[in-house]
Amino acid sequence: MIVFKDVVKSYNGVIAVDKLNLTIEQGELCILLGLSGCGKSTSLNMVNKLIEADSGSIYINGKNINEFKDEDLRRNIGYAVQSTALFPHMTVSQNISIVPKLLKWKKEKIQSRVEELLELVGLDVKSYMGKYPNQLSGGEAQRVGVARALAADPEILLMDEPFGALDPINRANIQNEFLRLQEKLHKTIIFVTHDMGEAMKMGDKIALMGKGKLLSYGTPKQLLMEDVNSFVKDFMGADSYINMLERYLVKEYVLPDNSNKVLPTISEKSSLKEGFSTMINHSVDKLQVVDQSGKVLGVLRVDAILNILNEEYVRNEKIS
Amino acid sequence: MKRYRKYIPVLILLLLFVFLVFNLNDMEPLIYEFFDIHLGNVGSYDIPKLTEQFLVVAFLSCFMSLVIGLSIGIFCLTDLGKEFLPVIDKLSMLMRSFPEIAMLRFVIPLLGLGVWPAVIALTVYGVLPIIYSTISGVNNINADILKVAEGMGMSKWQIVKNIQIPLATPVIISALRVSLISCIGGATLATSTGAEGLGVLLGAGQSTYNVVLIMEAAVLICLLSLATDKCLRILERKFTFN
Repeated sequence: MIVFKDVVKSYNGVIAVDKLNLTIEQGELCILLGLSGCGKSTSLNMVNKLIEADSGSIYINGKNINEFKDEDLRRNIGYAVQSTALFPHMTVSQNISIVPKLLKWKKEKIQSRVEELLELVGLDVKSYMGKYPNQLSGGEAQRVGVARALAADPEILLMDEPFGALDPINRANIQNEFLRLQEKLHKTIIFVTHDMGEAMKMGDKIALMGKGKLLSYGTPKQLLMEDVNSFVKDFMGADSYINMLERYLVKEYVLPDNSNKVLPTISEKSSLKEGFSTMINHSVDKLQVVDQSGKVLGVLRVDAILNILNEEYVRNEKIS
Repeated sequence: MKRYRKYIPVLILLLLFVFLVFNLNDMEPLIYEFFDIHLGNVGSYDIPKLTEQFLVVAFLSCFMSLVIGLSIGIFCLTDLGKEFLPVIDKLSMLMRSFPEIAMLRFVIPLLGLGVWPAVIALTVYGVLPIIYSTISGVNNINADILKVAEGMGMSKWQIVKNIQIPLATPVIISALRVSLISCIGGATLATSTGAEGLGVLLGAGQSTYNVVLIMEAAVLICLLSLATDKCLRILERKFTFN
């Protein structure tokens, strides 16, 4: 559990973080969302003391972070950034084993951990272990970056726009994989992004920040329904409901198929947002759902999507 | 086989250099037949011996430049050294505008004659590019990389040792190349402090209008410069990862 209590940070008199109070529960993925310069990265970097807070305190599992030695604190917190910042003179396996080495793990243990992690992030162990970062594509490098952050199995992960530099397709893939990972690992994660869609898709909770202040904090659904703060509404934008559909997977809404009509197809692993877009593209109201090998599983109807919006987001009806 | 192809030019240059060092003396009568310059008696010089003296001066001064330059460079990057950075910067700029031959003559009244005065004069000269490149090589490392290294829990010294020095290595090697070439060039002038070396051939050739002696020295020095330049370029590429 991470608790921010009245945290203030200013640079040359300009306030970057203004009396931030925020509690992030164990095992939760908390998104810090906001425009650039809103203080979200500053808040993130204060957790591992890369930036020192002016006043206020941060507690990890009830213990003030100032009670830890800087190095010890950081070695027990995973850290990943947008540019991946893999060390260019080290191989993939050396990059991943940095923190375990700092923690003085045994050689064999490090080796097996590296292999385990590469498998976890979906990279072939044998061919990737000896590669240098300049031989990796953007997506691969980011996977290694995630593996490196997870290396010493830290309880807490800090991720500063980790998937920001990727193209949309790679990005969606790595987001899905990361969510799958998180289901298994249950890390406490602070995840900074300015991308609404990403926030809606990934966050257990979203903390919306503006000008250093916490404007709103809650589950994506709560944030979506909020109408108190007009900034929140503006920021969420008109496409926020569509972004919400990112959270639902096609495979959970497949109905048995009894017609033999030829329909556009969609993979069972896609989100309902992609499903909905495909429907609009082809101007149809149902899609054929296929698995990876191309086997037909059934159909996805537009009713399923409307039902979700009706049932889960009742307020929408009241407004219209 | 392909992996070793880049070493071939270096190998050829070095072999040629070694061959000439040990055979030029025997080849001299032949060369004089070709360059028919009637000089009467020509003094004979022991080329292997002169080359040895030359190499000692050149490499010793380069080695000292590297050690001293790296220490000063790293010192300038510490918190204490940052205060000295402008002074060292200006001073080294000033030193560089000092002609090499003047530097060599300058040390004679202070240190007398011999090998060491020459080495020290050349070190003062060769140390500058290494100080510069150590500082700029370390300062130009991507800020994100340093932030992540710190964020992962490396101590200051671990960052210097594991990240900053390895990443600055290519720049430092490139400066080492400049420094070594300058030391080799400077070592030809080292005769003036009594360090002898191949400069003796040049001096003797000049004062007796003997083209052959000058040529012998010039060819050897050229070959050595080219070979070391090539060697260090290969080394530089080995440490570059981007």
